[in-house]
Amino acid sequence: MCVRIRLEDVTVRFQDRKNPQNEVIAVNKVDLEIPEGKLICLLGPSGCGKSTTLFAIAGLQELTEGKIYFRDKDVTHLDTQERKIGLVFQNYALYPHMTVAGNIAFPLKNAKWKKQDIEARVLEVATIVQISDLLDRKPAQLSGGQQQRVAIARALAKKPEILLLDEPLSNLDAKLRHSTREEIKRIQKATGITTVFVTHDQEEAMTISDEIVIMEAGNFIQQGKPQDVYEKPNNLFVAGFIGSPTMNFFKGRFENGAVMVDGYRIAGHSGQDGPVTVGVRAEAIQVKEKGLLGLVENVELLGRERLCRVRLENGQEVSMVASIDTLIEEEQNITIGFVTGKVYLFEAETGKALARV
Amino acid sequence: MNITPKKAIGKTLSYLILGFFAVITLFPFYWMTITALQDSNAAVTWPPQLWPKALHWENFTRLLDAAPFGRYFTNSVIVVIMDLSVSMVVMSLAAFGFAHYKFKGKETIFMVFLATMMIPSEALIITNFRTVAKLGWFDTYHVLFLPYVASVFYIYLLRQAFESVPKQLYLAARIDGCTDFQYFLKILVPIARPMMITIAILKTIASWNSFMWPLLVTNTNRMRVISYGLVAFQSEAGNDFPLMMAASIFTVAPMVILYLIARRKIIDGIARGGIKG
Amino acid sequence: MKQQEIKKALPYLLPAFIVLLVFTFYPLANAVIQSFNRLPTPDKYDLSLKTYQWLLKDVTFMNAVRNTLVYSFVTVPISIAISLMISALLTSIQRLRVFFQTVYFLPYVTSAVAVAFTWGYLFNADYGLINMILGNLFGLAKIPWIKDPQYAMTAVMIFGIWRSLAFNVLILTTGMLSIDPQYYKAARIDGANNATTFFKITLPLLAPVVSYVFTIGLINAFRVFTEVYALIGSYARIYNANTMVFYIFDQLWVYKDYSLASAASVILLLIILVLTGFSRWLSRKTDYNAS
Repeated sequence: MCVRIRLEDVTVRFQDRKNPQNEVIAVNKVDLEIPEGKLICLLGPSGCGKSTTLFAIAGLQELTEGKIYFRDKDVTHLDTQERKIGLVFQNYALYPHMTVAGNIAFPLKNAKWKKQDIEARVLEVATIVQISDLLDRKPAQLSGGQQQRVAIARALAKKPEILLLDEPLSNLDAKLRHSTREEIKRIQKATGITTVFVTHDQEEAMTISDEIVIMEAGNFIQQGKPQDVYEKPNNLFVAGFIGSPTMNFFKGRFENGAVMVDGYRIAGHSGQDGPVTVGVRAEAIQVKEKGLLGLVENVELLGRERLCRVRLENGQEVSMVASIDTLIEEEQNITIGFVTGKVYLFEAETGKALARV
Repeated sequence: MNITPKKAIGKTLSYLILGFFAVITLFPFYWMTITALQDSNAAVTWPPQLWPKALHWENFTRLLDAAPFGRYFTNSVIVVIMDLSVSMVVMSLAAFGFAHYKFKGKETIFMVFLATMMIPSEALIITNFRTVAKLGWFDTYHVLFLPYVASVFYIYLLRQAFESVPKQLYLAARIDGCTDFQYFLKILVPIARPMMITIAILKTIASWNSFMWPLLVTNTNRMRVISYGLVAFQSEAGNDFPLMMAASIFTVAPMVILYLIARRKIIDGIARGGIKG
Repeated sequence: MKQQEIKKALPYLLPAFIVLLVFTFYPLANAVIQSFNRLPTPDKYDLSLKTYQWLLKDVTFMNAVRNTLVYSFVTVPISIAISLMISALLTSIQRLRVFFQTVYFLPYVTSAVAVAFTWGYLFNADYGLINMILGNLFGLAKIPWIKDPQYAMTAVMIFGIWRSLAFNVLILTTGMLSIDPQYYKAARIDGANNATTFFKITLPLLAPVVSYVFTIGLINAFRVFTEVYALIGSYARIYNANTMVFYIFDQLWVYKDYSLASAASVILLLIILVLTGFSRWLSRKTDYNAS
């Protein structure tokens, strides 16, 4: 049983009680819809309002304005206890004085399940997250990864309609992060539950989400499948945030029906003369006969590819990814150009995406 | 998640109950104050007057005539000053000795020190009584505080405060030509000043309110401290309640004032002992 | 090197050590030795168990022990129960919390003697407010609170509970406020109502603090003296408000029987050591963060 979530004009404002003029708008008129049964990621830098939005969906954060609907039912004023959601906290919030089994059973006891049903469900859920051999331990005796799985089990125990996760991987070391995010994906696919998770790590979001929602400074910026967001960013911020290495940005100009960067013609474009921001990903930069001159400062050999850092004449640093066979060495002077069709144009002032040429 | 009527009732009830207990806590002090300003007859009649018809300030002057409360008060003040002067020195020196130097058996000795905290003073009071009798210390000022100048709990706190100062500061001081003692006096002590003030305040309260020991070792009227003087006064005052309450106020007021001024420090100091366990 | 350090450390440690030696270690040893002294005066020795035998047969002492036990095991649980309630309420409100905390802690800094006087006045059989209220509003007969063996201990207990709230409320509130609010959020998600949250989450997490307050409370209750002396008077013995420390005081002050007093104090010491050990064990059992 999974549920579509809709946020309408949701706004959360915090007022400093001592200085009422100081107001922080954590979430600003966010309008978005989360489809049923999918794994959605709220992605953005620290302070962008993603966690606040998550807690608003959970009912732990009051809305200053706006409404939240679970499958067309207005839950804006519904108490947390009644919203039938499971939440995995960033620090897990496992009750230290209860065993693993006790932690998982707690929500079921509160919902007044029968004792046999509770025992069965605890075992069932523990098996899904693969901690059934740890049921008698206390949280302090578990590793970080194990604690997290207990937190997930507790969230899933009461068969919620929505599963929320607040930066679930940020407390784990790198290796554990990879395996655990696969786990979360697997569990979500197995249970089919509508899942929303918050992260600031774009790689994480790109790897496991069905859809990504990008937020910045409290605003909703873009929503879409990972590949769509990667290939069709709405604005400069999204383009720069998604993808590793970060997209390269150049100061360009519209001149006489063409896009020019540092005197070189990049592509044809009918637009008014004026400044424009040109964005190119590292993999769309190639060695060309004519183009921007630069000095290769650093080359990292990464198996199949070469990651090069090139310093242009004007001092700008550019990241470039080439196949391992391309002969580029450090201290080499090279000329680079852009692959046609993979150059992004953004409005110089607002950062809004204009076109891809 | 707005304020529902149910929540509003809950909040109101909470404030009412808290208010009720606040009244219970404050009532004896309130009663003490207004009785002290009452007329002798009004204090014993029904219905009780919640506010005296006239403020009889002369009860306080009567008090000073009836018993040498001025003397008692002064004695307590002298004892506090002497106590703080000696104990702060003794305790901070000991704390420095533990914090700064490394030697074999240091932690064992410290544990023995700490173990003394478990011993109730009532067990020691018997021998101490005899000891000071033999030393001829009855009816002096120093007998009232000397046995208690090495308060292990405060030594422990001071040691922690000193140890939290990075070792590099000491090395820098050495290069600047400081001896160990100068380092202690000119650097550690000022840095640990907030803690020392807290300890001084707590010790003041303990000294002012101490009773059993002064009771045992003071014989003459002249040397009584205020707590003992108060008790002795009870038999003299008889049923003159305003007078007795005036005496109580004399005793309580200075600490209440100190509390209102240094409330945060007092509470932090007590809570430290509490949470440490 | 280490030898040198101890030479340097010595002058700093010496004053405190001397004071402790004379006024703590020596008296401790002496109390134990004296308790085995059959003779009441400490100068002449005759070591035997007779003192303890006598002590355990002394009705006054047994009375004192009984009173102390009653006092301790009545006032401490009641005080903690009330304090828990007050602390829970304090934690749940925002406004005026600091004000209430200031008020509740006030009795701690005040002299027990002075406050006992006020209570003595309130408890006064003829002129005290309590009897006046009982008499005039409820039509009950005057209870001779302080001068009656039946009621004296009760009066001391009421006073004792009132006085112990200050410390208990402070420590319990500090403990409650330090519980990570995340657990409360998780409990809300898990569908727990207020009562369930308090009994299944707050209290268990507070257990180390509660056990600390409980044992400190017991230890202080066993040592009660000033409150009794100030409220009842030096003849508390007659009014059945005798406590162990009062017994020690009497033996020392009135009867000048040092060995009996020492023996009683050793028994008190043992009880307190047991309580302290119990508190250590309890705090280890309730420490959920140990693996």
